[in-house]
Amino acid sequence: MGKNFKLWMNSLALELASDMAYKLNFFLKVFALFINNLLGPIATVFIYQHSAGIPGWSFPEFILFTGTFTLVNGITHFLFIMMPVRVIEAVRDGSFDKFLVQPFNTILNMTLRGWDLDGLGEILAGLVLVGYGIFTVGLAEFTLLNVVLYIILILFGVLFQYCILLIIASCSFLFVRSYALFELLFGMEKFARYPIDVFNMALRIVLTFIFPVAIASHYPAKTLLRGISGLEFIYIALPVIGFFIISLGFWIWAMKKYRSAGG
Amino acid sequence: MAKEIVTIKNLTKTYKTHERKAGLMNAIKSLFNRKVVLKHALKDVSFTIKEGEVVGLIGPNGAGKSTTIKALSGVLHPTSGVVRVLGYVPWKHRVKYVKHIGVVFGQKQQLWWDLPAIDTFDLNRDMYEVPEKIFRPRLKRIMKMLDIEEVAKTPVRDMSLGERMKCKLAAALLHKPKLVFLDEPSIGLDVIAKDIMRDFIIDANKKDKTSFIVTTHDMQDIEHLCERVIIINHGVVVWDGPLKEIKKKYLKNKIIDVKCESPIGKFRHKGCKIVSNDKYELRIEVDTMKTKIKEVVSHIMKNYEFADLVINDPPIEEVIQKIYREKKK
Amino acid sequence: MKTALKIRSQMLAGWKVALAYKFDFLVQLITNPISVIVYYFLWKAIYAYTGLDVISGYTFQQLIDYFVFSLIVGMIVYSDIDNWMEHNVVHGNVIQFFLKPISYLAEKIWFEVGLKFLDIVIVALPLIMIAITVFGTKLATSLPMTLLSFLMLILAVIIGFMMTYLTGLIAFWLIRIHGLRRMKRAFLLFLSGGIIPLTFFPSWYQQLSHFLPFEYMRFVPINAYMGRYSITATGFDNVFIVLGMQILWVVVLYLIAKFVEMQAFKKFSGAGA
Repeated sequence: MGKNFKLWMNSLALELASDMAYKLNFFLKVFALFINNLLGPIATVFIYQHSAGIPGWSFPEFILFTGTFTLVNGITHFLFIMMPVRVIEAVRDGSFDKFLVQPFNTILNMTLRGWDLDGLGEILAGLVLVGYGIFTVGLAEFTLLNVVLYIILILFGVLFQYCILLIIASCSFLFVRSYALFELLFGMEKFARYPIDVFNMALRIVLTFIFPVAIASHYPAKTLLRGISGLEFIYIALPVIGFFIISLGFWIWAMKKYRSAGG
Repeated sequence: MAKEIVTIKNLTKTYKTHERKAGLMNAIKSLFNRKVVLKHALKDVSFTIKEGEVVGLIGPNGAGKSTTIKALSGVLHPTSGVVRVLGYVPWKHRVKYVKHIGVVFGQKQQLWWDLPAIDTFDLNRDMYEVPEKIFRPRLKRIMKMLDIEEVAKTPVRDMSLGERMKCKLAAALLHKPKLVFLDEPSIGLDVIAKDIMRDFIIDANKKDKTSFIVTTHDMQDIEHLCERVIIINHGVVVWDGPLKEIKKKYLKNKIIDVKCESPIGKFRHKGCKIVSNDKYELRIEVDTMKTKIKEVVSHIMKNYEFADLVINDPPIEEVIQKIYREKKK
Repeated sequence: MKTALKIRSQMLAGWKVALAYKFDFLVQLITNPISVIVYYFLWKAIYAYTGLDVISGYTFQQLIDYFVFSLIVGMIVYSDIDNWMEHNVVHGNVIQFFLKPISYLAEKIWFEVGLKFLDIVIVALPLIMIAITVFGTKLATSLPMTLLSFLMLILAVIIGFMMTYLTGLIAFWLIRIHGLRRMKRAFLLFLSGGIIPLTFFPSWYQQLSHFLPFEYMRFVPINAYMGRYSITATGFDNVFIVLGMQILWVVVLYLIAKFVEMQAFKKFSGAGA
């Protein structure tokens, strides 16, 4: 574990030490992610100017919603987004084989090297939006319990997205076109861009229990603003945990298949 | 009398760069006060190449050979001087001119990466506007010679280095260019592939009278292919003449590396100079004018328990340094 | 004509490369309808909640149609050529494009045309089918307007290409332009009306937008197709005026691109190996 952390710190240091032109590009990448995530909210301003907006969500509430999704995306991006890429690299140069003996260490190792500093831009944008939402709605409206639950649900949201990355990584060493899969799975996250209240019952069920992407935006935001019952908390958390177990199992199965195929 | 196809007279290329020092403070300083540095890539270079020649263009890195290639391929505008290739001024009539040349970069991707090589070949037929009835038989013949008939059907990204190299070579010659540049053509190739490649070049040179300019660090390539060698160093031509002459004048020496199983004591032999002598490893420079290699080798074999023995030419940089030093005198 | 062969060579190359990446294109067959479904539900809710038939100049059906057309126009106009150009610079491959008997610009643009063909055939057509059958999208009925909007679409493609080409040229100086490309993509999407129609923007911006190239990349051709321009009105409601602005921007961007290109090539020939 300590060795892995050192590896992580070293590669981080290397990235930061690279030369000026690359530093400029790095700054631009982070800034780009920051500013790009503010464009949607600007559109939201216009929408709320011309209409009554989304039923059940006032303007600052929806900004808080968008910020929550941005925050979850940002954290996932910052911590894990490169994980499938690291796996593909390791498979290509053969270094993956030495990890086959220890499946859990492999996951840990690949995960720890999955970071991408660009994610900071997204996290920053998310914080700005959530902050705006909170202060405009009024600090008095929030309870400590809701804030804590909010943070927990955000982590669940990140966990869900991590599962998607795990699936993509698993498929990559079964030699499936991972880029297409990446587009597909994250394309499905479009359903998380808006409160699930706008969808019909069938979709709400799918987005909560089957492909529980609503955990990345709707449930944390709703909890922060209006609270959540213990029962509701359990029945939205369980599908995510289930999803995690399934994707972990899929990873282990895929590695076994890879190993038996001669690797 | 063979036609002159490349004429270079007093080619000079100087360009301005800015002094760059490492570190954040210097980067900020440079925003306010940029020191202009003149870089003389080529200084008064002159040579001519006739149709049918295979010329080696060598020199250490940074010597000016890539600048020369850029000037000859129409990318670079010289600061002064004359460049005429196949009757064209390369940068003035680039689009018309490059139809008649071919280029192979040993270290760069040149074929469409995701497509089978055969696709690149067909696409090139259109790009170079070669009529199908001339193109097809020529392609068949070239693929046969390079033994790439089957492999050309696989995507380039799935090919080995050697297969890719051969396909690049084919692609460069398909449109029957009059002049071909080869830049590090045999890098990473195994012995068999190198042979096939060299035979192919020699054949093209003989049959189609294709002229070649070869830039490489591999002296074997030069030895197999080039009758004439031009050496560039620090932007100046320091040698232009037959390879035989260089060998006669400068490659009199060979380097022998010996690894022994028991410690080597003192080593002494006629015509041998010790370059380095560690306990188990010995590097000797042999003056082949004074003593034959086989005599030195049999001396080693008789008197030492050697584990490994390698015979090499001195590195080209050494030869060039020698030539350059001589020129300076 | 002799140059036709060279153009065909590049277009075919683009087409074949797209085929090699077909799975990445095919994914859009699923993700595009998902986008439309999401917008459908979102705006259905907004319209119902607002209680108006028309919001910002669009009925609900018109807005859905707008998004469908926006997805398609986006696919056609979107250019990734700056990515390829950055790749050329980073891997030291630029010189090879000067060894081809075609201009650098032409090599890129015709490759792009070939590349997009697959997108249009495989992805755009099914999307239209789905939109018509499931979402009630109506195609244009006026032939002259349709032809005119197709012309505007072609001009939009050229504008989009020029902007991307300019971004790609910056790689000759900055080498890595990842961040720049990210911003360019997002801003072009937003300012061309890709997130919401420009009628939602503040009126001062709508006025300004007429004099910027962005709306001509998406919003204007779609407007024309949806019959929202007239041939008799004055100012920017007149289809010929906006067509004229489009042509103007094509010319201006071409000139800017050629100028920057000249500088970029100068820089390139002065560089190292």
